[in-house]
Amino acid sequence: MSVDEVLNQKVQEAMEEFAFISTVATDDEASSYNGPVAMVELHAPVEGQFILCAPKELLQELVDFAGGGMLDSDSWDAQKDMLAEVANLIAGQIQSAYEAEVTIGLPVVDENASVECALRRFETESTSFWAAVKDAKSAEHAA
Amino acid sequence: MEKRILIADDSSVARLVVKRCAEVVGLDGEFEEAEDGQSALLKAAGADIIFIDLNMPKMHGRDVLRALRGSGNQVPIIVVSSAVNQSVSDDLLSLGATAVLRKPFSPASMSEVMERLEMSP
Repeated sequence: MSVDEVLNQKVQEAMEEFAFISTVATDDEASSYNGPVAMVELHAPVEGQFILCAPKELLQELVDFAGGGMLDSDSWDAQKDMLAEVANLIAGQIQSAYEAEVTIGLPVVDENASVECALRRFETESTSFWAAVKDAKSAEHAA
Repeated sequence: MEKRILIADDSSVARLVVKRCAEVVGLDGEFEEAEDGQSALLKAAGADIIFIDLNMPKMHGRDVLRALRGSGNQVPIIVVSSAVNQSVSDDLLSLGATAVLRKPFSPASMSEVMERLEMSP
């Protein structure tokens, strides 16, 4: 399975399992994005950088769900933590799709990042978000 | 006596999810939180059960696990992480993890672990 196929599968699974948000990987790609972004360095078995670009509406929805009303979904601190956690979750799942030692970095979140790379658009019932594995070097072990 | 439950994860959202899930499965007690590996190691003494993430600042969860078991700490340690496949899980269990929960997990998965540890209500 290619890294792109693993990305599509793991993004959809993570959103469904973590927050019961049904997500579809579209054929649309964007070449740039401005807004809240989380980045996670991938070291092994896939090398590269996982990038998750999520609009605030989606982050609010995720905070409302996972926080169970105990977190303020309008707060950037809560949204930032959620974006980091979801990025970490998906990055971990991408790496663990390959049967090998897993190493990833810590998520880095920027509220107003400017990203330029090929980003896959994912669609939920209420909004869209984008994700990519930038500069991916395929793992030796096939998923 | 009330159980002392330590949740070590750098994400406050993840800590909250673990705590809510623990409460849902009836694991009552005093919850304590650690935001990084070093803090987890310091707060582990006296805990009755530890939930620990792997990918944390200052000290990786695997190193915390190794240090705790190396010092003779025998409390149940549940590793909670998304970066887990069979080989990682086997490695963690060989280092002394009591169980491994793959994120995202359901209350049912946590309940199974608690039943195995005979910590269900």
